[in-house]
Amino acid sequence: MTSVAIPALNAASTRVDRAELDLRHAAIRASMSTDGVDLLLIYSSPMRNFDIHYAANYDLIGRGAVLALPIAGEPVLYVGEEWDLDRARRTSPLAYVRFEADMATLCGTLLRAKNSAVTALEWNSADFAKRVRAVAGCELRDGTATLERAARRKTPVEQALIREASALADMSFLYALEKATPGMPEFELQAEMEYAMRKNGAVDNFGLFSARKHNNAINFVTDKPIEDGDLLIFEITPARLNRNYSAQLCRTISMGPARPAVLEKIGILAEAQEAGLAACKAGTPISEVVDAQNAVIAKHGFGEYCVPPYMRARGHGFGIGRQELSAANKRPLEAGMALVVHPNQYFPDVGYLAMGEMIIVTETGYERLCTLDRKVYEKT
Amino acid sequence: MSLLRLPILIHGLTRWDKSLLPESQVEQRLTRVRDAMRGRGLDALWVYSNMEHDGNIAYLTNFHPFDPRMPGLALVTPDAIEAVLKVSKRDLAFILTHIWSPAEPSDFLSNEFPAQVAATIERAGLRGKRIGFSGRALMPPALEPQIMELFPQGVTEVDGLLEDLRRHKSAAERELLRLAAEKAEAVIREVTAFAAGGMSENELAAYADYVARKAGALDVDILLHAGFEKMPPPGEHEQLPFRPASERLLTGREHLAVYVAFQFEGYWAEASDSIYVGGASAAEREAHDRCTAAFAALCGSLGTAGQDAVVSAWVHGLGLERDELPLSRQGKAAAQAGDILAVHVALEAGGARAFYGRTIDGTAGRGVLLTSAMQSA
Repeated sequence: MTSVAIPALNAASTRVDRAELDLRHAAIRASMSTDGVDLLLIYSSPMRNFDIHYAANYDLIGRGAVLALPIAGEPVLYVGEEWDLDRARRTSPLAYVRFEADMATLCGTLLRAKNSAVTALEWNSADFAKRVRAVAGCELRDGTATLERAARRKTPVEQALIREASALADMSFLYALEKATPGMPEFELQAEMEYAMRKNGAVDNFGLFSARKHNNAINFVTDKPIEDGDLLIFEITPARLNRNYSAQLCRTISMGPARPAVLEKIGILAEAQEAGLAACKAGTPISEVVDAQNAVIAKHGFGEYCVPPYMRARGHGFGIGRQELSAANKRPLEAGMALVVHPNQYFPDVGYLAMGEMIIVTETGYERLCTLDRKVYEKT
Repeated sequence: MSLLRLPILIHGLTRWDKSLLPESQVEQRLTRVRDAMRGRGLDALWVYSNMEHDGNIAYLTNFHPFDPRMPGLALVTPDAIEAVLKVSKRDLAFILTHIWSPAEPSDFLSNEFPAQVAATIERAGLRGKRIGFSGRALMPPALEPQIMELFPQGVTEVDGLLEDLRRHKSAAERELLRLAAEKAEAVIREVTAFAAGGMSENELAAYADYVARKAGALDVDILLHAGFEKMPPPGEHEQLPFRPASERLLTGREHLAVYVAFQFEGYWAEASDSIYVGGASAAEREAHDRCTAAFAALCGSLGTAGQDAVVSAWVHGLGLERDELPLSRQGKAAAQAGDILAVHVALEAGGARAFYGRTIDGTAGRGVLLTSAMQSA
């Protein structure tokens, strides 16, 4: 059991009710109208469970679920596990929740309707898609882009959940700073951090953490013990309710006083972080946020390292409506988008360092959700 | 039925512990695969796996697809094995530290996966060869035709070949499963001691998750069944209802069933049990005794078609996936000597409820607990 007390945040309290789902459905219907879709089947398999959570507040367990959302009228949630029907009715605020054993036949039958489309078939098997197509008797129209367009801008409730997740990430990092001890295996510290977040309302974590004197990248945890002089690099990504409401924090801890070279490189990343965030506001092409970060790193002589495998991306969103912060993405930022901006980067002398913060884009700039300093934290 | 619930990312203790699964065991495994290929007249075998069904590629390479966006294809030939993994280049160096085959990365955000597979086909000189393919039906609709057109001479679909091989566990695999089962049972014990009125289901599940991760879980799933929920009807063998934790607060006196799925070094074990918050009544003790007796009876009758009409039960194979041969829908009648199985039982008697489930070894032709003796309520 932990000897350092886990802080109690009392922050995880936002709920998704029928009014919130109505707001989301209105956005989806506006997008359907744009695309000429009269019936959208929002399908989730276990491989992509977050679409159905967004549209129905149903935490998928089992083989699949689908929400049939007409352009007008009541939506119907179908769940694929009969034994889970009662729970689905308790947790989803929708009026109509039903069990359907054969999702392929159901989807195919509904897709016989004119101007209908289905999302996320790519996250199911080829054979499932063939069965749906055979029952429908026609080529299937992919409605994924219709749904994604509606979900890019987070509602106030979604933003509140993401703020809660961000607070969990900050708390977890500071807790790790207290708990990290030479001799403790990586996986044990990860377990401590994860427990601190789950105890305070996280349901899952996209968690990466490595402790080396020279990290090549942030990886999954191993049984390697933490040692004096190690650099602990983290991507901490708690999810509230579902991965749609995730927030990521990237930071570095030095076990002992940080070497001058580490302080210098963290300074470069802090400058790149600031430059990337300064570019963030509604209307700015996403690629400019990437370019702004890379320009700082290049200015300091490390431009050749701004490519894989020395980095992966300069940021991204989470779950539904996700955006990739890549140089090729020219899509303009929109107010209400939630992103992590992270200039995480490998340097030849000190290895991979972590720096990244969660924001919500606004019309005039951004709301910074992270409350931590942009520095290397020293465990002394 | 399915209890499947994928995490955002599999991110627990990741390694290949060669003291538990030596390289000689891997060699024996690959020899068995090649023998099976020869038996089917195959020169090469391609195997596709994704995060939902990762057992085959894990069996061949020790790679567990950790993200839904990152499937993999493995190629086995008479003298080599290699893989094309849809992962980032940044991640590949780490992945190569714990898999036992060479691998090529194919960036998961690009569309270069089919081209990488094509290059591997060329490099391996597979043109005109007899190719087996496993997992075609798992591929996404857009990827499947792109991959299959790389084999203009056609392939022989061999779904089931690896699943059958995986069903027969080696001694090392049985030991890994025993360790996983021991850890799953330890989670049940610790969470039973931890449960108290006033705490939320989420807090209880968070603690169970913590205990599991501290014990070295690669992945873990915690599910519950509370007293206010419907029991599965007696005789039911498809629905043993566990579900994710909620914010509901436990009362000072209630029955709560806990299900733990624990993955250790890639291998899954399961355990379930009743927690009587505030202490068990005489009726509850009796119900739990009957439940464990029903569990023992079920273990003793594996492979037979008869079912006990008094209890509801769920039986399925375990290994590199949570639901292996015999699959849960096939039930206990499909069990064979040598299977490693999860057996879960639930009953209601005298107004009291009880659940009991463990991982068992069917080597002797009947189910025997992989670990210690059964516990009373």
